[in-house]
Amino acid sequence: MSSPAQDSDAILSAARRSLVDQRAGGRRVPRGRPIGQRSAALRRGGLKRKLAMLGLGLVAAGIPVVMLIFMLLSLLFGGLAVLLKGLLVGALAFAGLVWLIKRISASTALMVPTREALSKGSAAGLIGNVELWLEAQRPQLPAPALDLVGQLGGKLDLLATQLDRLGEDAPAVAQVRALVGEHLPEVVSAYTAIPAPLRGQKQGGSTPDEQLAQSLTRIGGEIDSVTRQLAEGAIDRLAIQTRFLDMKYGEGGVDQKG
Amino acid sequence: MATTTDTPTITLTAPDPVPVVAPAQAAGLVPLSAETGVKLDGKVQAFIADLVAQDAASPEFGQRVDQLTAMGRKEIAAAAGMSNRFLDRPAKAIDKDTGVGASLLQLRRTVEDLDPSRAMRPRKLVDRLPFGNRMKRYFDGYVSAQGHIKGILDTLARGKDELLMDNAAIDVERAKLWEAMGALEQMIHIAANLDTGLEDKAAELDHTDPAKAKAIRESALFYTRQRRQDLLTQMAVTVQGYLALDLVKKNNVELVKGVDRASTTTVAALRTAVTVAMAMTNQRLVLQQITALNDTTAKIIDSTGELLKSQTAKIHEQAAASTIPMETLQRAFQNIYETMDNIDTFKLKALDAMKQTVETLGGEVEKSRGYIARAQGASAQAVTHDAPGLLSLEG
Repeated sequence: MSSPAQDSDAILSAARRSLVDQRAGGRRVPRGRPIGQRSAALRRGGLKRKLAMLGLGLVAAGIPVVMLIFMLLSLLFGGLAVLLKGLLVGALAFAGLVWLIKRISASTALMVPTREALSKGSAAGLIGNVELWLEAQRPQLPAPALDLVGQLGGKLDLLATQLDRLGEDAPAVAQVRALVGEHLPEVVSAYTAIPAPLRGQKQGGSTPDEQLAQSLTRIGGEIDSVTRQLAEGAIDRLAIQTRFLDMKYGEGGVDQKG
Repeated sequence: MATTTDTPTITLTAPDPVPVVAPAQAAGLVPLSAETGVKLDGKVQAFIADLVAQDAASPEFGQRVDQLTAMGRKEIAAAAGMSNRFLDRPAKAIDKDTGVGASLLQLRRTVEDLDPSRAMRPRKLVDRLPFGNRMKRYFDGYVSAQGHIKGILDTLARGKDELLMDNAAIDVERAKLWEAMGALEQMIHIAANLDTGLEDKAAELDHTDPAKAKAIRESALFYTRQRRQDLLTQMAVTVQGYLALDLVKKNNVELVKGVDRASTTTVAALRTAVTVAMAMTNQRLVLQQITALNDTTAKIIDSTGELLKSQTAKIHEQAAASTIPMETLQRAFQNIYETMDNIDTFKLKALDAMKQTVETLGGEVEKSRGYIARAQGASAQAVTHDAPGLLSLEG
């Protein structure tokens, strides 16, 4: 029979981890805070649309009230023709607003992209979407991984600035898409698919928690190196220009050296 | 005497082709500081101790061996990406049909048209009769040619800038190659030490734990030697690429010298013509475009600008004093020809050296492809096993 007592080692180690966690200030997942500038921009865009919808909704809600007042006034002072004209204009305005709200709301609510969408979307939106997706996974991640995810945000932002300069079908884009749009979500999903109590248990030398941390660190390192590779062209260009100016106008030009 | 217009003759020497660098010679070309050496030795000792501590049949032992198969993967990939860039770099400057080569050819043709020895040869009967007219017509040729010559000199100046830019790029590339070679050298040092260290350890274990000794010999030592060979091969190719880039750079430097000299001698000849025209026909030859060029030329060809100034003074002196000013002019043209011939001989030799270098390097790169493929095969494996290892250079 299996009784919880047989898992005493695991239970004790889980308790010890929990104690350390709580002593270190407990687990506060910074839910609202975006990890990178790209996702922050997406969120801001979402918020703006939300506010616009709210405003339009209020206006739309006000129309029937205005119409009612208008009907009363026109019945009292005007005639039937004025009333009909007014009703027509009011109905048109209402219909227009409803249509507008529908259109905005189609793109409005800030949707956390699905995993499948991450590997398919455009290169320009890739980083922002990945950041949003990661943010949505945070509640399920252990404390050490949260720090790593936070660091990934900064690295991803840096990578995004380099990606912006590339075309959609540059070879590096495919590399980035695989790394950030496939491998990274795969690691996180594989981790979150493990039932929570088992995440701290050792298997094959290390726990899923440790494996996640290791994988995130490795991906972070790879993002750094891709960013460096992408920036290499610019770095070289400056170095070459500096050397050229040195050769052409500087002391000890090419002739003295030849 | 007219010969005083002689400028010291330049010799443009084409550098020798780059020889084949054998893998055995490749190690030790980049110096390794004693401090780094000690640090790397420490890493190797730690790795061997760690490896021996594992059970020979355990997955941990296997993981350590995997580290060995992936050893130097990054370093090899980085160096391989760079060393065959030389092969992409066309020897464009020396190419006859484009750039500097084409401009020099054009200059030669234009100058030949103005050559006094050719122009003064009486061709028609009419030419024999009134002396002054023919001279005047000859010098008029300069006025019509000046725009063309200025155009060519401008192109040459731009071509020179391109050569300098090329050399700047080579400098930057060589600096990076040097770094890559330093990293390879460190990995080779590690591999060599691992080789001897593992061998000693296996010999030591022969009596106490023969099974482990066998495992070390058959897996760890085997992969170490394989990787060491890969690293040495890549190092040899990289060194060769490094030397080949230097060859291109030297060629460019010589060519820049040639361009400078060709421009200087041409401008000098035109100035001589102005003076000689004055002396012989009392004709005021105004080469406005060339005069304008003088100011800029001194800057374009800074190294020879001084030379040009002193030369001009001499020309004026001679043309005025000399009884045979025409000879002065011919001497000035002779200078241009000498320079051009010099460049031509240089180009022939340089092209030959370049061809040989490209052939040897191309062959070596081809040979090393097999090793690189193995390195990449190992890298696929390494993704899963590559612990932030004892054998990586970072940290």
